[in-house]
Amino acid sequence: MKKSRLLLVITILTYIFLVGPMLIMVGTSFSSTAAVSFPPTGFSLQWYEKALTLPSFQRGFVTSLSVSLIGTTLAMLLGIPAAYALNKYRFRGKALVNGFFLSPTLIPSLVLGFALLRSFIPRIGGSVYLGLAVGYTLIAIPYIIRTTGSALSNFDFSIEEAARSLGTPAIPAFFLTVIPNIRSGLISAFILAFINSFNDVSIGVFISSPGTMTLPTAMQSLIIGRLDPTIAAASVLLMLMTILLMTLSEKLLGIKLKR
Amino acid sequence: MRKRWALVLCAPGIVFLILCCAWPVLRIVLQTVYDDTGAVSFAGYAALFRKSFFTNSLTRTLRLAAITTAVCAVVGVPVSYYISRMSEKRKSLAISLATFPLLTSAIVRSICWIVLLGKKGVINNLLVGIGLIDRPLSILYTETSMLIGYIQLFMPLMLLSLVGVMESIDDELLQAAQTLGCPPVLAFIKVVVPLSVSGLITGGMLVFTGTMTAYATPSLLGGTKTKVLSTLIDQYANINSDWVSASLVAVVMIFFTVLINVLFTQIAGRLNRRQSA
Repeated sequence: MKKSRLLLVITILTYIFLVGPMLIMVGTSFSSTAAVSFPPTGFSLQWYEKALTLPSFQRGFVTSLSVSLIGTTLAMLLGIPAAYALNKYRFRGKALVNGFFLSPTLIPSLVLGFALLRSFIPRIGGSVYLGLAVGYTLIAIPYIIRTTGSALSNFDFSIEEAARSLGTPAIPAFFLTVIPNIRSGLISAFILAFINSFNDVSIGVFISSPGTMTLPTAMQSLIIGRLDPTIAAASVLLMLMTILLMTLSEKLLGIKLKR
Repeated sequence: MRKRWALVLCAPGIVFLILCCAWPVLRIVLQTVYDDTGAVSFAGYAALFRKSFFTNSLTRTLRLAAITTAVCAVVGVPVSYYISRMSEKRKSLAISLATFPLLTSAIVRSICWIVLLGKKGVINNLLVGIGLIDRPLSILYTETSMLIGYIQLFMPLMLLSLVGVMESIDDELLQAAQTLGCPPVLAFIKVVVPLSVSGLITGGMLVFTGTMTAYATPSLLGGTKTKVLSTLIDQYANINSDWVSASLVAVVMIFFTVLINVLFTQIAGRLNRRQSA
């Protein structure tokens, strides 16, 4: 009894530490003065207006959104077939191929961005935009391989075999049997990989130009030197987006569970 | 036939990874071990390791990663145990509350601490306001503020790695220890901690490598006197335009990431063998 009360206190303190600072930031974002204070003095939405109309944030948002979508989609196009092959077939060097697909996790994403900047971007005509998309593809591939792999490990391949033996060609059989069965796994993988890319700071440290930078990079360059509630408001908007996507992914998975 | 299919399905991904990941990274590594004449030379590394600025950053990186991992483990074990014993409804709430910070940008979470710890931040304003201190404290831009940021950033990873393991621990073991006269806290340490080692290793690896390679937290919460490897690469490359040094530090960072991964995997493997033996 006494012990469990001690555990309760530690747990509550830990959660205050984890979530509390974010709540305080939400409070400061509504401040009516430029000073960061809590409890907030007055109430205004001016910092939200500023965050939403700041050109560097607007451009950053569009850049982050598009490169994350391109990167995650490309990672799925490359990763799903590979995860399928790695789960279905046995072949020599399978462990090696699997390890190779997971290898980007061993390279810190900051270094990945650095390597892309030095050795890859000059070869593709110096496109920062393409460099970012490639960087996010690389970060997402191991994640997609893992999540698709675990979704496939619950899939009964004999369903696909049945479709094949009834005369369905390989590719339609894949889309008619495999994909519908792992759909919810794929959707949540897509959403989580997207959130991860969208929030990533490290790749953008090296891959950015004044015209093309990710939203986190744009936010960081604004913080340096000054602190006003604009940045808190932008952060709150990003948190809201995360909550929205998380609920969406849970809802999509919830539908699957009820069936 | 099967083999050909497997190859066809894996090939696009493999080609992409070779062109966009393996080759660029390998080039960075190779550039650091050749000198101007094209001969293999480790002179660059020798020079790097003679700079105290670099060795200080390296030891600071490892020290902060170790402290962060230790704190996350010490706090993570009791908290995840408590979460694992909650009702289903509360447990899923607790897990979502731990997952949410994980899905929030590291930059947002670092900004929270600037708002709280800064000279004109919430805590200093409060302390000065109630007259407890005369001048604002300098907490921000020190190793302390970095540690606070790291722990908040990576605690969820430790919690999520541990909760699953905790669920499989039988409460009767703990009761048995207490019935036999072991004080509750000691019983907890002697029963729960050893049984959760596999989760501690998974979580520990994620926290350690995460802290070691994080960029947003040290760059926003650290100062010029508290450089770590990631902020050092940034400084060499983006401020000094010293690409050679930046590459050297980048390779050191890869080396330690791989080393830590191998080390933790080895420990996990050894423990598995001992448990199954």
